[in-house]
Amino acid sequence: MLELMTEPVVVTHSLTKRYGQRTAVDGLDMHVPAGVVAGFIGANGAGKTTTLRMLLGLVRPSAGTATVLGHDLGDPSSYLRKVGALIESPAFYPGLSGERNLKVQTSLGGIPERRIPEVLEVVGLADRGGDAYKSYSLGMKQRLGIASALLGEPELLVLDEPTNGLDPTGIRDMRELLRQVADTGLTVLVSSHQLVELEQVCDWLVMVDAGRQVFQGTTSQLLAAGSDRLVLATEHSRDLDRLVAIVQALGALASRQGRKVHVPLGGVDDVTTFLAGVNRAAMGEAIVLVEIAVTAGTLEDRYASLVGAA
Amino acid sequence: MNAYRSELVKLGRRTTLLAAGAVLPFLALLATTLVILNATDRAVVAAADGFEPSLAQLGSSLGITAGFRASKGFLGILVFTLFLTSFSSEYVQGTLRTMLLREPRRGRLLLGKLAAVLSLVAGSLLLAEVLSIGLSAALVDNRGVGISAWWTGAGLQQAGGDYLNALLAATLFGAMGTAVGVLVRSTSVGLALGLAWLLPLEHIIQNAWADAARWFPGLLFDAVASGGTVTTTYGRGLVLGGAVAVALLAAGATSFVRRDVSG
Repeated sequence: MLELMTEPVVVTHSLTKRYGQRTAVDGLDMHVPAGVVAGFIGANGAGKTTTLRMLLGLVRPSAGTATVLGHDLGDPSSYLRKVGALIESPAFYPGLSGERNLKVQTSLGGIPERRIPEVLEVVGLADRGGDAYKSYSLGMKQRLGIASALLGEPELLVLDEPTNGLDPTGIRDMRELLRQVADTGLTVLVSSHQLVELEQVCDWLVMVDAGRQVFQGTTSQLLAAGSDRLVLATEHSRDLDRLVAIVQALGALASRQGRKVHVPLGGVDDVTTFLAGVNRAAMGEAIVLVEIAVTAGTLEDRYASLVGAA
Repeated sequence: MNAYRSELVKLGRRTTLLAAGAVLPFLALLATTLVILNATDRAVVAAADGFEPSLAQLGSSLGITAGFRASKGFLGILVFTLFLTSFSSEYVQGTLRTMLLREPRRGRLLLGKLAAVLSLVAGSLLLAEVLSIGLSAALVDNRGVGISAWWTGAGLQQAGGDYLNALLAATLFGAMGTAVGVLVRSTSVGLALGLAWLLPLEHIIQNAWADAARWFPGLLFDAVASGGTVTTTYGRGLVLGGAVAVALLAAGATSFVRRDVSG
């Protein structure tokens, strides 16, 4: 088991953050083993960014404890030298070049300047480092943000929604960059609500909903936990909404996606009996099913079933 | 030291240097030109700090920095704006979180940034004074004024004292700009509040209540820049103005160190 073989890099116990009456993070317990690419998953507003900000010393917890690289959260200066981070959108001085922005960082962190061309090379900005940051595309800005995070040769890389706002090409480039960085052996904690992206690169997952942890473990554990999906299609598309209601009446989650109905099978004990029940109920309502297929579940399905159950 | 060096890297950009570092010298040169051209040989004239000194004052040891002293009216607003934008823009652009990830000891970051911006102002003031003296020496000859008194011990002491007072006043205005920038976290709101207070409000109240100059921060800081005024002694300006600046800076530093950075 991955979690037993390695020491956790991040551990939180009942970590909580309240803003007045609103609780953004609610008693979060999580851990991230060393050397993994860990996906931190949750919908917008689930508490991901607030949690990451607490781990990075930007926001004080209201309650709970945590350690990062074995150091207490209350003393971020003891561990931040070994952490690289990109929180939300990259933030640099627009009038300075990419290189000069990184020089501001190396001066501040006491990092050798030789790292600047090295990290620019890693993120594919070697030929644009001299250009003003304000002239960069969104994808280039994100890449400069990752370059900045890599400057101090970190043991832990924290990325918050690194694909936000990127076009499909940018997302693919970012995924490849993430793989490339992860191959060097450092631990990566990456938050996102784009589950398809995380499914392809993460080997450890922490899922949160409304500030609470709903799952943590390996990606394979999660996907193996009965998360196949039933896909149904009807002869007439006008029947789709009624079919959703029929499936829901049988106690399963169902949603209409285009001209099909998707049903996560995570909570279904006997799939054969369930399928027979769906078919029988549809026939009873004079709905003709033209497709009944069971497909391997995705992270999205599993997340939906976990959040739905939470 | 790292925070200081880092801020200098940021400020060292050519356009920043021009915008932030060359304005004071430019205004000093403008004021110097006006002072030399306006100098009059009438017996009764305004104070030696104004734009219309007497030719006799120009030829005395006071004359060496007459132009530089006349430009001090711009000092407070410019320095306040520079410090305010240096800090508030870090919040507005989100760059503060990038910096705090690199230097989480917030007190050190604040001090380093402050020292770097103050260094820029100190250099800018020195350049302003040197250029002003040079231009004065070049122009004053046309007015038939001898400048031998400028290069005496008294003249050089005057130049040194005027520089020191300008730097002290800049430090006080800088502390105020920093505090407002950190507390308000918005460049536009900070500028609106600060400039409204320093420009019209203090002076409107002063017109109705002469003692305002003895109590209001901007007017106290101005008294330091002038080496004391008729209503406010130099010592009072320094002690009371210094206390106000320390209080403002303490409030700003507490906020900077303790408040969450969520933007």
